[in-house]
Amino acid sequence: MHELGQAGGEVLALGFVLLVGMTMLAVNAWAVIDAKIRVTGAARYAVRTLVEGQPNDISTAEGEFALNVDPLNADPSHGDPSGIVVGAVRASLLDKPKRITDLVVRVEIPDGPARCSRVLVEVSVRVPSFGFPRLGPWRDGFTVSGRQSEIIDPFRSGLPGEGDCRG
Amino acid sequence: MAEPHAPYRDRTERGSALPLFAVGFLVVLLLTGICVDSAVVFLGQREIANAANAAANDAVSGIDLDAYYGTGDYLVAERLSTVLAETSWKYTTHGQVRNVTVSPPLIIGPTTVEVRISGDVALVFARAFPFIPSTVKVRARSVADAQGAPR
Repeated sequence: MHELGQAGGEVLALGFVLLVGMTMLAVNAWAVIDAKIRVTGAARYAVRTLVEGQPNDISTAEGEFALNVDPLNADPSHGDPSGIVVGAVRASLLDKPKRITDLVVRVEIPDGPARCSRVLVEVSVRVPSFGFPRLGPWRDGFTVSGRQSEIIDPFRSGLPGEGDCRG
Repeated sequence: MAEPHAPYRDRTERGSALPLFAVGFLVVLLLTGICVDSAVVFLGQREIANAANAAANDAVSGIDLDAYYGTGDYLVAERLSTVLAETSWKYTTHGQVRNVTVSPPLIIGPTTVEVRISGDVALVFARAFPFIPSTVKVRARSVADAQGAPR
């Protein structure tokens, strides 16, 4: 008599814990996927801006620099003095900057700023992992990065080289 | 007055939480698996679409310089654009996609190329089920036109 309905209660209690746990896991997984899509988009936008940008902007953009997330900006002394890369990354990430931390942008132009040179941009962020109240996060977040690359327009003006992409 | 059915109910419901919980857990696990695998495929699709865009932009830069300096015609060189498209893929993010094939760019106009990329995305949860394919084919197609090129 005392156990009447107990099965339903146990299933509800355990099911609730399980559902909350799985939902938080799914939300956290989606935050990582969302960040991955965003940083890849940001890298793509930045590299596209660079290969079509002004010659002086391309010449000075190379390097690795950290950006503040909120507000999204960078210390000009650490790279990208013209702000062309920061501007592109900001335009891509501006609508959701609070769920990410440690935003780092790396720009590489291995053959120097010339026509047909390859430009690589890698954007990486830290996505915090979820945690239960009082228990804290279950791990120290996830590093998510996106990398994109293009070659500088062979017909653009203001840069050295013949526009010969045969390498 | 005693209740005639109480002992019968007690006996049949004892331990019934366990199978209910097991079934519920499996359902939640299955739904989570579908969520995660769908997201992985979506991510792979986005990666390969971005890579196709970048490869098409690179491929259209493969100018046939001999034709350009000889006759003044702006033409995309097939072999060069193929090399540029394949090289482009190596530099872009491709964490989720395996067995990637970059088809030789189609020259669909004097200054227009089309690049097709395909690859396999490995699923996470589906591997546990032998009757479900563990990979999904993703494809992307991108067209680039050299708008600023001299004509």
